[in-house]
Amino acid sequence: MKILRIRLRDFKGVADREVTFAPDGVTIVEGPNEVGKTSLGEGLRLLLEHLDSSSRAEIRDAKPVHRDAGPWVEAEMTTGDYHLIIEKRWLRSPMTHLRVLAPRAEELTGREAHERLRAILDETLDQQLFSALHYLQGVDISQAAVGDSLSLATALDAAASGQSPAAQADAGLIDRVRQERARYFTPGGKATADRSQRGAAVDGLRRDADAVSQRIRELDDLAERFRSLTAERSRLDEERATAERLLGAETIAWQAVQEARRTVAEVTVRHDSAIAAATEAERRVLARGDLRRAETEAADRAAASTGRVDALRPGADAAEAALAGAATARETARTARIAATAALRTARDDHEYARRLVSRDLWGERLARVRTGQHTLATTAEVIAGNRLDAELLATLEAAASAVTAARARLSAASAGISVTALRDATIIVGDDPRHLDAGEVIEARVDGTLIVGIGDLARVTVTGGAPERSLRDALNAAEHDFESLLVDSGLPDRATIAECRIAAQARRDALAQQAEARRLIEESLRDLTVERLEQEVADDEEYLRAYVVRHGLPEPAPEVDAAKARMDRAEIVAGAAGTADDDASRAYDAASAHREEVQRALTETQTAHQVAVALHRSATDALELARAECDDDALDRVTVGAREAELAATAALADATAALADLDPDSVEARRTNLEGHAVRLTAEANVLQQELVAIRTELVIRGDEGLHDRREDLEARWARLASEHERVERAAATVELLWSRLEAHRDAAQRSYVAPYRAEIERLGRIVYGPSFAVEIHHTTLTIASRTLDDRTVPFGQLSSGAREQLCVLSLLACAGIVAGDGRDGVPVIIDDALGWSDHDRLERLGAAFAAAGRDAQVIVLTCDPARYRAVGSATVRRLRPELSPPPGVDA
Amino acid sequence: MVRLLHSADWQIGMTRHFLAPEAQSRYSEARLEAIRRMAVIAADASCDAVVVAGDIFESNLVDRQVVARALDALADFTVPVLLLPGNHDPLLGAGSVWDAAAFVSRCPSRVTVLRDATPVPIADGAAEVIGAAWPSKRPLTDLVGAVVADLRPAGVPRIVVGHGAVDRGSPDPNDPSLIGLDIIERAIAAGSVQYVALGDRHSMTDVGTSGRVWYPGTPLVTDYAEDAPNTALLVELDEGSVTVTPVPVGDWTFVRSAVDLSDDVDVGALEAWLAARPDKRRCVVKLSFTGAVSLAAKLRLDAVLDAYADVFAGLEVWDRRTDLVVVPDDADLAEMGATGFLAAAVDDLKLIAAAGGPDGETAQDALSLLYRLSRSGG
Repeated sequence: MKILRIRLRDFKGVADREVTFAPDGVTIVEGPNEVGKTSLGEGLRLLLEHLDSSSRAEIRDAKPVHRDAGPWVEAEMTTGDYHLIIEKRWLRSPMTHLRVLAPRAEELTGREAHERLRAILDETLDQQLFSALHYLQGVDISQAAVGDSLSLATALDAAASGQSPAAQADAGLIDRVRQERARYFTPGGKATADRSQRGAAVDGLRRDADAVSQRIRELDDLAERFRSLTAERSRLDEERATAERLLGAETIAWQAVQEARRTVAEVTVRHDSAIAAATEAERRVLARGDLRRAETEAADRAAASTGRVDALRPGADAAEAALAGAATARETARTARIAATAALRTARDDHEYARRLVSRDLWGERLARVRTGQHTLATTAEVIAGNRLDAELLATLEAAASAVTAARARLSAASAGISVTALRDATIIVGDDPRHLDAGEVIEARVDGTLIVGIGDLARVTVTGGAPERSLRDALNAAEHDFESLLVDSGLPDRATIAECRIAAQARRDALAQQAEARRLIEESLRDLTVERLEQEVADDEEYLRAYVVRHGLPEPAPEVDAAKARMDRAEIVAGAAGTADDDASRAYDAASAHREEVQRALTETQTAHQVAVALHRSATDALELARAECDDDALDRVTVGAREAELAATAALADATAALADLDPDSVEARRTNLEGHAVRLTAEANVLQQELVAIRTELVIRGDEGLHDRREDLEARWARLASEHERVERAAATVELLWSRLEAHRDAAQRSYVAPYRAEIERLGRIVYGPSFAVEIHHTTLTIASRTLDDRTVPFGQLSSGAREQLCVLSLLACAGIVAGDGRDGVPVIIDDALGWSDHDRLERLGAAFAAAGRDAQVIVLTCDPARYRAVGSATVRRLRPELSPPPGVDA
Repeated sequence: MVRLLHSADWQIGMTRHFLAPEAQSRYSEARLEAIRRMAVIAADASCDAVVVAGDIFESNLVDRQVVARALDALADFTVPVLLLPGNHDPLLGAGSVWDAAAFVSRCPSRVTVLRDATPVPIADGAAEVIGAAWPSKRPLTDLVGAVVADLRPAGVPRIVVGHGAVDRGSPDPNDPSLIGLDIIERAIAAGSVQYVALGDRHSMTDVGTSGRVWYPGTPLVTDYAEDAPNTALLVELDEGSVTVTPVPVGDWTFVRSAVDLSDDVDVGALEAWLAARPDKRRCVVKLSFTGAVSLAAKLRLDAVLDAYADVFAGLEVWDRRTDLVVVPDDADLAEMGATGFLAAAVDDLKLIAAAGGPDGETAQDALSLLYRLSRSGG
């Protein structure tokens, strides 16, 4: 399509404006705002799309504000082979006028003109692409929706394959296939619920129908079973009748057998009686013989037993006498033994008494020694505890005493002495010690420090020593103090003398020696025993001795151990001999007793046997006599002969009856009859079982036969057949559309991928004019939109580019589309760019101008702009400058 | 003269799965109508009896309602009706429709079930009828042969009623229940039997050469393969002669047709043929197709079948006998305007279709669908 001219009249703010366009290349329509540039594109769109009768909002918006006139648009264009002029007016005096100038002249008006125009456009123009290539100012910067354009697809297809495009296919076909597919598949590609449910319902009906069919088959089988059982029962009835008939015949024979058997039984009874009688008679004859023999033998045995008793009696008497002698001897021996034993016991007691006496003294002596030792230990321990004066301490004391002696000697040597001589009897007090002195008696005293001497009531002389004397006195005092301290330490009186100390030391030593001796004594006396044990031994002995005295009295004199021992030994010998004699006598007595018992027993037994023999003989005699009284021997012989003859006759009769029974073959008759009876019973039981089963089956058949199974099955089968057929049809349709869709999708995808290449090449060709040789783009193969731009090896997603860059790429993609669609002499689709590139800088605009020019070689490009500078660089452009209308708009003319 | 109406194979309770519920309902009703029509015919012709030679019911297990409606139709008869249990409704001994309470309690007094071979006098003893009822579904003997073998001339016309296939020309000669024609013909020749009323075969058939052994066919067509169905036989036995006259009783038709299609003209001819069928409400058509047609012709064929499916009682396409190839021709392709990837997809589908088999059929369908969608968009 090429737009050659557009004229607007009474269209928004435009009173009347006509603009012509170059059919090829770029036409730039310049003009200030509000001059009506945008109205040109808008008017063209309304003209092509809407009937003159339309009063939709966009048409009402096109009505001029200050004039009561309908908007009017006229355009001249070529499209395909057509060259036409179309004009329309809306709202006021609506009109449409179409003049087709080529290929053959046509002139139409009104709706017919509109429809003819639509038909021409449908035939020649990719209207979707036409809309997409109209870039409007003021809308969001977005890429044209060219992905579904068939023209572009066709052109790209041709560019990709090198073939020329065929006739245009219906662009909505894909959508219709998609919609058709949506009838059978979910967006996820699964069967729709409708299909799934139908499939399940088909299966369900099939199962139900099969189940009913199965029930019908079972019923058929049951009916067949009933029929065969009925036949079986008839057969059984016949068989039973036959069996009963045979049984009747066999019963007659059986009754004859029974009669013969009764006869045999009776004869047998008689035969048995005859045998019994004969046997009894014989038995009595034999018994009589036995009785006779028994009587004779009993008599013999009684006589023999009398002799044996007499023979045994003397021996028995002798044994009795021997036993009495042995008893006497045994009694004597026993008395002697008792006496000897008593003597022995006494001797032993005496000996023990003697021994215990000695023992008690020995134990007592040891115990006494122990106790003495223990006493010594106690007393010496007391001494030792109060006297600590051992050898070492004594030596120290000796030294201290020497020191005192020495000190005293030195003091004595150094101290003054007085000598008082009584001139008459007088009491002189020297120190504190009054002394009576006879006249002439002299008393001497050492001045020990200060010495006061009183001479009666005459005078008190105080003599005081000198300084050296005091020093020596102090030394003496110190030595004495030391000595006294040692005394105290030794446990001695502080006035003790050294001699007393020596005696005390000796006393301690003595005590220690006594202590050691006492311990030795105790140890020696105890040896391995304890004191308590010693005490026990003594006590035991004492006890024994006291008991002896109680038993025997106190012996006088006390027995000697050895003499007692000798007496005891002698008593033991005597007692041993008495014991032996007693034992011998006892054994002799036992032997005599045993012998007497033996002889006595033999005698008793023999006597008893004799008594029995006598009794038996008497009994045998009685029995024989009793039997003969009942029947004497001759009569008995006669009875026996008669019984034997009767037995022979009965035996012959029995043989006859038995032969008669055997002739009837009773076993066979019995077997046949038993079998026939069993057969009849079995047949009856079988018939009963059959009858029960027949009744059960008949009941089942009647009940289930009334369920209308046939109709249920037929209904289910019919429903299944219909639904299965429908299901099959739908599934086939689903498979069909799926196949179609899969093939279309596969090929469309492949095609889209293949014709992305020329599209991208065209955008990059134009882009490199603007951005330089490193420019490249990635195209999304299904939407044909620019996914990213690469410049100087730097790739940026489209959405992240600047507004200017995005707008430039949008314009370039439009130009590329138009160029491809119009390539190779095809009738293209014009690109209308309304006031774009407002964000582009001067340098870019310069380069874009070259790109516009390059694109315009093949396609018609119409640029509407208020800023002529933006497109000044489009070298070969045709420029139309619009100026504001100066004169008032002309009136509406028809 | 004794006059009988001979019918058989009423198959009451039969359903045809290819019929829609509405049609099935009318079909079942038509069966009862045919019976009522026979009642009228029997009365009009002053028949002495009506004999129905087996398969009165489609099954022993039919619903009580079906039995009730059948008995209601039987009540229309004004002459004795003798019913013979056949292979579909054998006596069994227990559990058969004949012993069902629904039948026994409401059976009209004129109706007699031929349960055994006891002669039933008709026409006041001027003739007698002996039945050879089916005791089970699988009898092991020739039931009719067993009845006629020992018969001696009765002095009055004797009609034997039997059911089953005759041995001559039987597809299963080993079937022990086949009716031996020789025995029957000997009995006829001996004068023991004057007419043998058979059932089982749904096509009206004169069996043998005596002219006295007949199948009347079903009173209402049940299958496409039946010859001369929809009839009953009016039988007149006179001294030494028999006259058998078919009388129409059923009014449904089952038509089967194999159609060879090669172009739109053939589709047009088929449409004209369908349009010319009389009484379409009671007509069931089964079509099979062979040949090769274009997408356009297939589209038209589908439209024709769709249209007539709603007119006929039933319209089936016999898939098993159908071998119709759908091949897009140039006109189809031009009409679809297939270019670019669309054309490639069409080429793909053509290739798959040409390979045949189930995938080939699907591909043919896919082409047809594409064609239809391309047209519906225009």
